[in-house]
Amino acid sequence: MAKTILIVDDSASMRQLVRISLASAGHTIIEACDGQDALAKLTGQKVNLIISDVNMPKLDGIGLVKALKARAEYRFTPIMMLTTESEQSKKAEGQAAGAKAWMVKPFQPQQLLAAVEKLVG
Amino acid sequence: MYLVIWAGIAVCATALFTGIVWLGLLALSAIALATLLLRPRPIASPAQALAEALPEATQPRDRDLSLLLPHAATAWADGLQQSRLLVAENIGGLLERFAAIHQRVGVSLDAAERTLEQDGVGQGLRHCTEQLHQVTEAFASRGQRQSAVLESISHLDSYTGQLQQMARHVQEIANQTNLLALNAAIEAARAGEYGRGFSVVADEVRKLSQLSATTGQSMDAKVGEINHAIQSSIETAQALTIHDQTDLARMQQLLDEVIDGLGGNLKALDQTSRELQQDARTTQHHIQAILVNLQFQDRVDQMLDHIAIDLAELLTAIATDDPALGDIDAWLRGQRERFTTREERSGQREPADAGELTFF
Repeated sequence: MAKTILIVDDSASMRQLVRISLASAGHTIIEACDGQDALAKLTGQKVNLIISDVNMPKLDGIGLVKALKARAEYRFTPIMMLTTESEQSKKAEGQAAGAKAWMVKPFQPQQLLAAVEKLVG
Repeated sequence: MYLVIWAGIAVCATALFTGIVWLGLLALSAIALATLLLRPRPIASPAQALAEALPEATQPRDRDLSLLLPHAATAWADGLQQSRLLVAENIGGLLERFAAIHQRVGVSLDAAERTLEQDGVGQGLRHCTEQLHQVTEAFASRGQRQSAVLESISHLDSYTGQLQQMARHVQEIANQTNLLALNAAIEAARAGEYGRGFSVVADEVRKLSQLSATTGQSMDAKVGEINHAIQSSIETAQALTIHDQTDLARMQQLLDEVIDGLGGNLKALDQTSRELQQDARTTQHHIQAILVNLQFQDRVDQMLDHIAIDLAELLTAIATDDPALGDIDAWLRGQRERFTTREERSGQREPADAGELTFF
């Protein structure tokens, strides 16, 4: 079933690849270029899933997860981190903040679709 | 030393002309000794030569480096930024094109797989064959009905035989009656006046018998004609049936040949379709690998971003004469804290944890 998914990444090409991968399965995609932009885009917008990079300017991915979990309307919205970071300490930080999954870049479009299916399918 | 060498050569030549061997050997020894005592001339490297050729004022000094570095570093930062933009723009274009190809190949593959799952073109061929067999069966059924009609007509042949027999019986009865009438007329003549009335009756009976005989002959002739017509019709119908059966057999043969030929072509087509499908699947995997590989841009961009930040911080520190510049270890630690990729942390090529997925 088609879902609305917010992609947060400061790399335009990565946003593009995620959008192409998920749109092929019929999902509706909203894009944001960093944490602050994501919070602005989410105002008055209901999404089923948030896929976020970790290292971003202005507000990073971990900061974004913390900010979202503090808001009642997004407390139960699943968040997956999609990042080049594969350090266990960073993963633990993401888990503690409230992220549901952690995927290391580079990724295969099918892997991403399978993960999304598992989180919101 | 050069004088000794030249003198040695002159003495050696004299000894050669005069034939004094010991003098020649002595001169050669002197030449060899003088050559060994010559010192090799030092050869300057091009860079060294260039440095020596530069005037004293152009030699770099600390003061000049602090003036040059901000300008050079700004140019490096600009170059880095332009490179990042260029790479991002072009990789974005490539990603979009490859993703479109990947999607299109996927759609084609799905359609091809659906066709192949439904037994592909083979099912269509089987359907055509069934339809054609129905046509030939219809023709064969028509032939069978025609044979049944012919059999019914053949029965008429036996009826006409019976009719001819009956007509002949009528003729025989007429002949017998005629003979009886003739005898009656003789007996009536013998009776004289008393038999005159009976003679008239016998004459009428004779006329009737002659008429019956003529009618019997006529019936026999007509039945013969009918029989001939029936025989002719049966022969014509039989000839047509044989012709139809030959045509039907020929049609069946042609249909079988067409179906076999078509089947062979479709089998080859089916095989080609499956090979194409396999190739398309391989191409799709290659494109998928390209889509993964193109994500190098994100890693490279992050590393270049860190270098740009480092440069900016270094410039600020130089401009403000920051005491942090004196603590090299602390400065490098600060740099390392920014690292986000395994390559940056280890300073060498690392195997990627591509697609590693953890659910919390």
